[in-house]
Amino acid sequence: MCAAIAERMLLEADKSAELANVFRIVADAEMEGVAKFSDALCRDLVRTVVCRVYAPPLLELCHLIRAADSCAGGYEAFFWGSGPARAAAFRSYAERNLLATPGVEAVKTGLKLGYGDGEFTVTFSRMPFLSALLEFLVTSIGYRAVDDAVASIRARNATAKQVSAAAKDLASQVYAYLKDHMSSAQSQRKFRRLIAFLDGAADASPEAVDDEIVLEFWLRESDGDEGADFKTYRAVYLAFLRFIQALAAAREHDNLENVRVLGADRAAGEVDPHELETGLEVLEDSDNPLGMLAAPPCDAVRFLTKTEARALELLVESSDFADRLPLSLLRCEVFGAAQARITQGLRRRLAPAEFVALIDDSIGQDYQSCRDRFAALTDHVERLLLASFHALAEAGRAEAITVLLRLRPELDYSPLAAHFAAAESCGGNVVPLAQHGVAARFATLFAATDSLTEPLQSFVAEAKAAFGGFTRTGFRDRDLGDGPAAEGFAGGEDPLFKLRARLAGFGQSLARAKDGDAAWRNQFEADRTVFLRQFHSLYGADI
Amino acid sequence: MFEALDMIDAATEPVVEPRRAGFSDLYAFASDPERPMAPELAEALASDGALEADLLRLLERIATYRFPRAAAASSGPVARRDGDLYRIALRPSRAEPTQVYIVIELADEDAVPPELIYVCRPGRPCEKHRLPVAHDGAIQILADLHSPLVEALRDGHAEVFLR
Repeated sequence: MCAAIAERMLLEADKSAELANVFRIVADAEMEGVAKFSDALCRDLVRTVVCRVYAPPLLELCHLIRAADSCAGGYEAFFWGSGPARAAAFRSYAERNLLATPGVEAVKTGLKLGYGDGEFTVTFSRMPFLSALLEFLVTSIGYRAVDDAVASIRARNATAKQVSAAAKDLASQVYAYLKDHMSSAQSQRKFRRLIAFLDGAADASPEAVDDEIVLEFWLRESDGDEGADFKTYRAVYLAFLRFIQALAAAREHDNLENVRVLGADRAAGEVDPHELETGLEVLEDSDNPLGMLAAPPCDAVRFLTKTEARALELLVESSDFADRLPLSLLRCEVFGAAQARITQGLRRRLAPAEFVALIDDSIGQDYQSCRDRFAALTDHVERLLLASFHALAEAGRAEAITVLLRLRPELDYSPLAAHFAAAESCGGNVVPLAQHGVAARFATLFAATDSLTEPLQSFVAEAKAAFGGFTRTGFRDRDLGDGPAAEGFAGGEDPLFKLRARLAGFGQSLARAKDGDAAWRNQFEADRTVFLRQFHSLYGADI
Repeated sequence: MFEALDMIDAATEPVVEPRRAGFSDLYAFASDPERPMAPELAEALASDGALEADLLRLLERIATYRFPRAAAASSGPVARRDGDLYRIALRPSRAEPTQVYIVIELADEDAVPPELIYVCRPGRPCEKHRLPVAHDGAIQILADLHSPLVEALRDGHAEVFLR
């Protein structure tokens, strides 16, 4: 590799690293000892910036800054003195601190701004994201630049035109910042190398990508001159995942043959950033129950701890790719974690002997323990659903019925028909039941289980025991009833069933991939040898 | 699509590095009288001139008073800073030569007595101290001659804020 190319690569890597660092600082922001922004918000922020669709939210943010500056302490206190970025916190802060200001008013859903020729409302639910966007701005272009840009809109008589001008000013500063700090060159290079590898391999079309191809690619590419892109197994796994997702999306949109650039010039065939963002949303959110469980209303119930959510992250992110390549995901979980420990050891500048020992001891789990962890998570989600049924039934919520039917579709429900039909029929006519009527009857029926069949009685007892088995927020007796926790359980039904399906699909794929524990042990031992050899080869020269 | 997904992965890659300080930490330090400067914030300020300038802007916004820069910036230690609302003087203790009185005088008896003093030197951790109650229009603190606060006040390049 010539020096000029190497230098350019390093510069490009530095650019991307600095932007990644900005996002990390935003994600690391804390208020009152807890993360200021949720993981889902941080991901939304990254997507908004990477897809360059920040102009509309910047306009919203400028309206909000104008309103926030009407609170005691100014806009800084609104965004940094109101606690973790949650809709309820902003609502509460505004209610307590909004000063009488012409053109700024707190309404039920948010803060309403009046201008001579119209009005604009920023909802409380939107404020956490806008707060994250502001955190990104002050971290990237700096507080002084932001403060200068919004100076004119902090005046009492600011106009909509001034707000729009401030937003455009900020957008152009972000554009300039990204021009210097967001490089797609590294990603383009990675894409080309994946294509070249698949072109060079016999019968290795995207459809033929399997566990061995992923491993072979890592073994070949991680140690080369340009190995920085693919040094970690996790990076290779994610690259293949994204490659296959991107190809699938491209085929769906029939634009595989027309590689286009991001921009506003439709005549020149540039891709609308919003179109790209929508595509990413579909890819990222269509099957992302973790984000749903961490957001309102589900966050009223602590379904998952951070550790549990983190353990599920890669599986959820991988979608059906994990079912297709279950061994690759296990390798990523087991050996990816080991490689992360080695990388951390590199940063600690260990002595050579210590570092060699670290590599040898880096593998802290085997496939069996990893499979056991997924099995435990499967059981955990099952118990969460049972507990949800109990909470929803206690609250008289109709969702209890769907949870029951989805959890136990095989049960015979015909004996229940008598309880509902007899009460609601009138003069022989069939009367459709209102949903809340059914829910109330259902709750009564399941509260006194005497009239239920034995399997249903067992289910109700199992659900109650599952609920009592948790000691987390939302699972205490005082949380029962039709309050925020019931909303959380109702909202959690769908994402929990998605998690259940994902875990079940992955479990089946694992069962199909290897026949029994002995086969997995053999696979682990074989892989352990391969990975350790590669780790020593990759990092041996660094000590 | 691949590029966007790959860049999002790169930006959200899990890291095991220590938490990094940002503007939230800066605001907490500036606005919360009880909050000391966290080591990671001191480190970030020392290595990032832009963040340091942001701190000065923020202090300017939330402080009740910013002293003009000392006139004798290049001619040795500063013993006195004069503002239109407040004055700060460093007076050696007669009883104990290793100590010095920091005296903050309120030029106007109606002026609100400050509760906090911030002294920020370029490239050094910003000093923040809670002030005692004013008596007869003056606030007095007895401090070691070589304490960080006294050394910072003697530095002609330091910016001084009251709040």
